[in-house]
Amino acid sequence: MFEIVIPGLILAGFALISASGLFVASKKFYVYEDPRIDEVEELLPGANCGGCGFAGCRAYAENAVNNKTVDPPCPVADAEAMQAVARLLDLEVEVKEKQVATLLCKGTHENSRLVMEYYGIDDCWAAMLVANSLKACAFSCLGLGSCVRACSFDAMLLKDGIVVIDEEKCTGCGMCIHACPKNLLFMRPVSGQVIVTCSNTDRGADARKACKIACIGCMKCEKSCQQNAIHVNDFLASIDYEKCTNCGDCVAACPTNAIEMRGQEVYVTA
Amino acid sequence: MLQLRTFKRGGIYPPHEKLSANAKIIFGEIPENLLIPVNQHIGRPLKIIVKKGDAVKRGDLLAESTGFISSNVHSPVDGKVLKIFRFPLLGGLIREVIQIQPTEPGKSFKEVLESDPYFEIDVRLLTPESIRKRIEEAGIIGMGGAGFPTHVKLSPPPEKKIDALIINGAECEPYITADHRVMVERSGEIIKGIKILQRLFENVPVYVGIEENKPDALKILDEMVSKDGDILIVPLKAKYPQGGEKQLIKAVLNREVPSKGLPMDVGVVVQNVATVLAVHDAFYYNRPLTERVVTVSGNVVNRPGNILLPVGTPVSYVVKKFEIDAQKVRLLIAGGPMMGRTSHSFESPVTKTTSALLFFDNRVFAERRENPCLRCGSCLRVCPMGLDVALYTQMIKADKIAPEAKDHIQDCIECGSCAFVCPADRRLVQWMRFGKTIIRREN
Repeated sequence: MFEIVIPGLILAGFALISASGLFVASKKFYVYEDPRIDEVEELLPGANCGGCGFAGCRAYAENAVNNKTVDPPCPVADAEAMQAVARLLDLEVEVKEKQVATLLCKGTHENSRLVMEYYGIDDCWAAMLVANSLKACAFSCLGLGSCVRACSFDAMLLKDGIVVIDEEKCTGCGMCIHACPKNLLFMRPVSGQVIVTCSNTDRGADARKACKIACIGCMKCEKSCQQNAIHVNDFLASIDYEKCTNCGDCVAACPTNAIEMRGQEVYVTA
Repeated sequence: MLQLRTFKRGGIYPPHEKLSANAKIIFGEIPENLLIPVNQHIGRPLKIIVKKGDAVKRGDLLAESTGFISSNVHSPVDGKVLKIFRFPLLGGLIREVIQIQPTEPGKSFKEVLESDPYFEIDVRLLTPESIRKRIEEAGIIGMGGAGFPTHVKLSPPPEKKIDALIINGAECEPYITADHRVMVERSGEIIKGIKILQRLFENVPVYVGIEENKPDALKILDEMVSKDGDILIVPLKAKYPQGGEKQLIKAVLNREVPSKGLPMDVGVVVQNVATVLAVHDAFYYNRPLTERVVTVSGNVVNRPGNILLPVGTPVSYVVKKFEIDAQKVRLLIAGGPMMGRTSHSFESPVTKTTSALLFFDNRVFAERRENPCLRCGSCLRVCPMGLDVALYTQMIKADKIAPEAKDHIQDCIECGSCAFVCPADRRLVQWMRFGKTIIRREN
């Protein structure tokens, strides 16, 4: 009988001592944490992508509560979630339109032919040590997918030597922008459907030789635009999305199809 | 026979393949157009001082240096500036070039060189300042491959006492024979060039390091300096990378350059023989650095040789001159097969640092995938810098470079010994170079 009871009592004694120790410690070393941090974190997407500049969603929530700020707003969260966060903290938040990553290149193998064979490391930055471009166009997408690996949302994939972006999956976190060594990615508001899919700043003839759909800087789009929303600098057109009304005049005017109109339906090429 | 000197750690023995070792340096004609790269050196970018349509004379400045670590670029021929644009150089990097249309295309380049006046100068009257200034003006850069401005290397800060000058004639890369032929054919001029450099450092012994596989060069130079006490010809073991600056210092003087250090930290200045020849030409012919000897070799070339080419000559000129079947060429390497860069365009121009143009076909070029590391340790045994290449490439791949590994990665001299022996065909040199850019981006 005692063989059972004595060990039982000893263990119970240990448990009691430990429990009281833990109780004292939890009272003595108690650190107050704002319960709202948990609530804010709950409202955030929880992707831990780092697009806001903080280490993750928890770090963002701590900053938001402790410093009473929602600036910069979480680029991934939708407007509703961001407003809920702002309400919780008695703040105002300006709802911005969703941004999506856009590739300013359409240099597929068909449009801009490969001029060299590359057998090195599968990484755009590593390839840049060897050659500025693998295709005829010096500005083209390398197609080795450094941005694809940077994307936490599975929104990018390689196809025909360029990157295609699934705009429904893209959350606009912006992590791919810095992953591109050639600065071919930029964020545009999702409602802006007109895109100049070229980054070639060479003169028209050289650009045309390099790629079938290159922007040649002919200025036709600039003349056709009634909103003064498209401008040509360095033989390359660029669109001011604050002014653009998606009328499509420039798309019709472009002689090389360098300007593209994304349809109302979401552009998915998977 | 003397004991052959060499470096101790690592190193490999690739086949020599010096196919053009007995081919005399030939002279070409002025090509129909020249593409002169603006930035051929390591350092600050240059400022272009000519514009489209300008007429230039041989030796005229095209782009001037913008700081101390920078080096002028001159026109090798009389001609007209056609265009300034961006073009892929040998190696695939797209950089600014100045296109020059020569006034007399087809004229023998030998005649051009012979028309340069010769000046008999008294070396004893030159002051160190005037020597450095002339070398800077002439746009002389290290012609071994790296292209570091020579006047910078020759201007050590006063607290670094220089007690040895090493002339690098090792030429350890397979195939290349440009320096070898220069040493055989223009040995007298090299000795004169060394005499000029000696004026910079008082009473400093000069060592000329030459690999044993160039017995004719060793013999000729040995005879020339036998009456001269302060120049010493040092035969070296034929081992790669014997011509690496740090390995050469270890071999000749048994001194170790510290990590992240320069040769001047151990009191040594190293210059390539081709650079010494350029120094000679700059003084005796008043010639800026606008031409260099290039080895043309490889298994597609029927008669491998050495040719003196003006800087800016497109590779297509060489293809025509050596009657190379362009259809067969699968691999074009600018420089040696170990450290050279593969190139994709026959229109790319020769620069001041192009020591060889190698043309290979399918028999040499093998398409091989990169395989996982076998942990065999071959790369560790051959690394002349004693680096754990296998470990560092894993760190770089995982994007988790340990802080203590950063200095080691930057010590890599990119000699390619590790990739040469790797049984898994890993792109070890590219990984190390990639690692260096990651570290540079972080800083």
